Amino acid sequence: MTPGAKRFLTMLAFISPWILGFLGFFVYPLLLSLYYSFTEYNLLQPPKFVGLTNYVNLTEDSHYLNAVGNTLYFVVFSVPLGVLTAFIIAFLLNQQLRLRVLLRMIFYIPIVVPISATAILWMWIFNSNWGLLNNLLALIGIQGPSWLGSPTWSKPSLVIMQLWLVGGSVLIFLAALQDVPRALYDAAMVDGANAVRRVWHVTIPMVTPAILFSLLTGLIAAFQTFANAWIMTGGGPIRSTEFYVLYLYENGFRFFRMGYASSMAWILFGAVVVVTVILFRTSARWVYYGGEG
Amino acid sequence: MAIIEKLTTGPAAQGRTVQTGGSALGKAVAYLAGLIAAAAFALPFFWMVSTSLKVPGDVFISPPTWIPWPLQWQTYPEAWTFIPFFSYTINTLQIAIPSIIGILFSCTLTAYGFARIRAWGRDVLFFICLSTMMIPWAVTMVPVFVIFKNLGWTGTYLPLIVPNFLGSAFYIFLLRQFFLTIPMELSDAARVDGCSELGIFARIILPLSKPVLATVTLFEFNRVWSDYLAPLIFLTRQEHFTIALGLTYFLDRDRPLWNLAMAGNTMAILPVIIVFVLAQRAFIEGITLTGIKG
Amino acid sequence: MRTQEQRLSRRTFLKVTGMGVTIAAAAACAPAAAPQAGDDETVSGQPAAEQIDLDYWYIWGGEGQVAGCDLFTEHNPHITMHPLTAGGVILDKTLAAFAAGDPPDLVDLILCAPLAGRGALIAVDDYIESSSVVDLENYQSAHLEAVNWAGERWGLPANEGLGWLGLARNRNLVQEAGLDEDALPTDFDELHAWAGALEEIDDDGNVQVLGMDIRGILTYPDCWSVVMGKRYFDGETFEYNFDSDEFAEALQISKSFYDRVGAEKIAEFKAAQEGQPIPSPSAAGKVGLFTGGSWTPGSLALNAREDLEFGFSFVPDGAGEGKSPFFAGTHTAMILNGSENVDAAWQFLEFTSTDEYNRRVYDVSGFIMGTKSFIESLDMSSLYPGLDFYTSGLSEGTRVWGIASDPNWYLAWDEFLALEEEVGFGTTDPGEGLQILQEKLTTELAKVLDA
Repeated sequence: MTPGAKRFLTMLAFISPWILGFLGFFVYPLLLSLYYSFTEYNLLQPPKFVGLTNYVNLTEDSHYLNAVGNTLYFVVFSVPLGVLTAFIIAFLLNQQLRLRVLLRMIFYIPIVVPISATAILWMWIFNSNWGLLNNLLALIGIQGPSWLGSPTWSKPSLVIMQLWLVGGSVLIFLAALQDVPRALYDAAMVDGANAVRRVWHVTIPMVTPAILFSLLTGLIAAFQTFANAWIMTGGGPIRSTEFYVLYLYENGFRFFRMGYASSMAWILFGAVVVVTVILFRTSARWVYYGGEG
Repeated sequence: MAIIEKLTTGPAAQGRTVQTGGSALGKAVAYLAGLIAAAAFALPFFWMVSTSLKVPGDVFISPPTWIPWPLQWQTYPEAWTFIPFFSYTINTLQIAIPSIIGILFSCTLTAYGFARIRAWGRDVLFFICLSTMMIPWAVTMVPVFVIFKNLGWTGTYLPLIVPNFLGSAFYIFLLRQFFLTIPMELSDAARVDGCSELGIFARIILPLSKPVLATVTLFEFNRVWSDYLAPLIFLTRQEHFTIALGLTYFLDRDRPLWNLAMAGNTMAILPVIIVFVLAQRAFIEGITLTGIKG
Repeated sequence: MRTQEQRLSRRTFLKVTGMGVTIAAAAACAPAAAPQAGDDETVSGQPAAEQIDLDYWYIWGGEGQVAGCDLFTEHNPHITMHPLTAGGVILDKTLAAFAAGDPPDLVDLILCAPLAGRGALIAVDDYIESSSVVDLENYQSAHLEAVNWAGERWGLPANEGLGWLGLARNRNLVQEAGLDEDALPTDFDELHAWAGALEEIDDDGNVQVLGMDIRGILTYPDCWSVVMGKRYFDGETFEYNFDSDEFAEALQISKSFYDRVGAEKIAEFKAAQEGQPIPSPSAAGKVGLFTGGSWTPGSLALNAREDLEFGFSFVPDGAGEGKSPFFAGTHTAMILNGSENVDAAWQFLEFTSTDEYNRRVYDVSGFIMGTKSFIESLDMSSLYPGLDFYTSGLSEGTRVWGIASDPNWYLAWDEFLALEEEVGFGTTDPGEGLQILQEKLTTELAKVLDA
């Protein structure tokens, strides 16, 4: 056996759990949902083949196009802001602070507390009259908007809310920061690099694999954002927070249009694949893997 | 071997918490920023606990009272018995513990294959793996259900547990990213020493990955703990329900009990907090591997 | 539950709901054994000799149904019920299970048409006819509308016996404003006058008290149907009537209340209420008038500030006929096509019409079920204040309609709600919006009728 073949078989052996899972639980559902996307399917009666009708109808569905726009807005703002916020918090928490574990827990806890339990709190934070946010803004002389009531500000409100939920990325960055060899900082110090330069030239390059992970999983999740809008705004006001998967889900499970929902899912799938490929292609230039072989 | 020892021996080998800021002023600013942010992040938790200690009529007063008086501690025993809290907790553990074992088993192996073995087709397979995250669950749910039904698994915990033994793209990706940062020289040297690939995985890579393994454990525990839709869809007997499903019973349309709901939520997140603290111990211990001398 | 009880008895009116039974039910299954594959032979195709298991999924009201099911098994020891509270996503769960070929035997939804129209239900007319237990006269005729589709009946109104459309008023605010509670608003002009007297806007333009919250239960197109005297969907001719003067008028009325304080303020009062049982600003005493259903009195009694009192009355007639419009929503139980024990499922459905069952559910959970004879046996004045309106409304209302037997009800609701908001914000013209809605629903209906 050639070394190449041996390596291939070794790799297959290691990834065999996933291969089994993929063949067992993904291939059939993926193909079936692709088939549904060419049918009229209400989940209760057999699907009826309609060719490309669903895809054609999507191009004329103003609610769908609106949902695309809302989702792109959310992705563009929430993902980079989320990664940045998570990195800054992780960086602060990685200092030799007292009560480090407690602080880390505090940043993680908003993920643990269900949004359904805190929906009323969020309403109070964003309330235009007596809300916390507008009270703070008033301190610096700004009259805050009607956050959740305004079609202009409803999406920014949800982006801001999303920043509360970066605790997972914070932990990933913290784990990555554990791996930065002390020796590198020492070497940088010897070279006379100041704190900012040490962060820029040592810390950030060493955590780029975690940044790539956070960016990509953040993108995939943001494209599929659902729960916040479902619970907080129901897609309103005037469909300003009706996101892609919210609309998809309603079509599939409320409006008896699973075929239509499936065509939406496959367009989303295609779009996310493209974004991911681009991100991976460019990542070779900025992600540093200490162990890349 | 020199490089291995340089990288892996001694407490100073790996930076854990490091002082990258320098001046006292910088440190003070960091503290202040951290405290303000922490206060903001603690709000949802504080609000939840505060609400759990209110009499029902005070829940909706606005602006809200942050510290209710007198504190209504009895909401906790009431919430404990209002739903079968104990058995729902046990049920959830019965899903969570095997799920974590499954994830740790399947995802570390798969991630190792994707990260540390340079073989033909690897990147394509990895991309296919990633792509499984990109299709909304809403449209694959029904076909997945069909599979579980044909396996005779509906109404059992198996649909919620078994797939975790067969990999999850999110964790595979996460672990791959971390495995990639471990210097390849470590593996090469071990191979020269006659160590098998499985040996390298178990004795070098895993011990060096404690923080991320702890993170995966915590994430998976939290995921199972708060998962709502999958257990609701796949479980058919109320007595098998999980804690996340049980918590919704407090807010029945005809009789919403907000203070009890919040007491229930507060109790329900305690296990996650415990796992968090345990996971953080793995962080603190950090990487004190003494190398693979020899 | 001691403090809950104390609080309730302090308020003197409240029936303590049967929390003890939940505990008993919990104890019966605690600690629950891990279910194993193969546990459910009777469900998965190899029925044991005589024993029948029935799955019954419903939306709200957990322990009451559990007790009712147990009572049924007492009478029919060979049938074991497996009740399950699915909450707000019951439709999703049902659709997924049905599509996967693993449906429950019985399910509880607010109407039959969406499933019946798509071939997922068993018609029960023959069963009703030959039944010595079910007496259709014993149901509110408006409630029975919920079980209709295409001239047949597909279930029974099993789980709710009151009405769903009342105008609630915060009596404290009403009295402060010096409004006369003996002369409640009877048309929308008077409602505006009341809203104006009640609303409180500070110098910065902040709405401290919202005079009239126009949404609430009025987001249901069925409610506007009865208010305007025009059914949005005709289940006999299979026609939608959204594209009509009445509905254009309804949207204008709705908009006029948005305009009072600005659409953004109205929308803000709605935020974070999605999926929540009561409009929290109302419970906080920040809203003068609002609309709600039979659950509203109890929800307010449990959650509103203790010093607040609420009154309930008919929503004004939008048709100008001086009638009292009332919407009789309900929850209907239905048998799914695919149940392996249809006869047994019918036996249970039949049992839900008995006073004995209704009484047991009520005693345990306070849930007021479907039949007239049972409701007459209750003393409403001893329950939540205002609840009696939702009973008497059924007989005192002069235009009492049920839910449209519309197979696209969920779509109609969602789209109408969004349209109402768009008109309120002034971004869509009512006529144009209604025409689009009408076309869309007609297209979807054609699919249902074709199949």
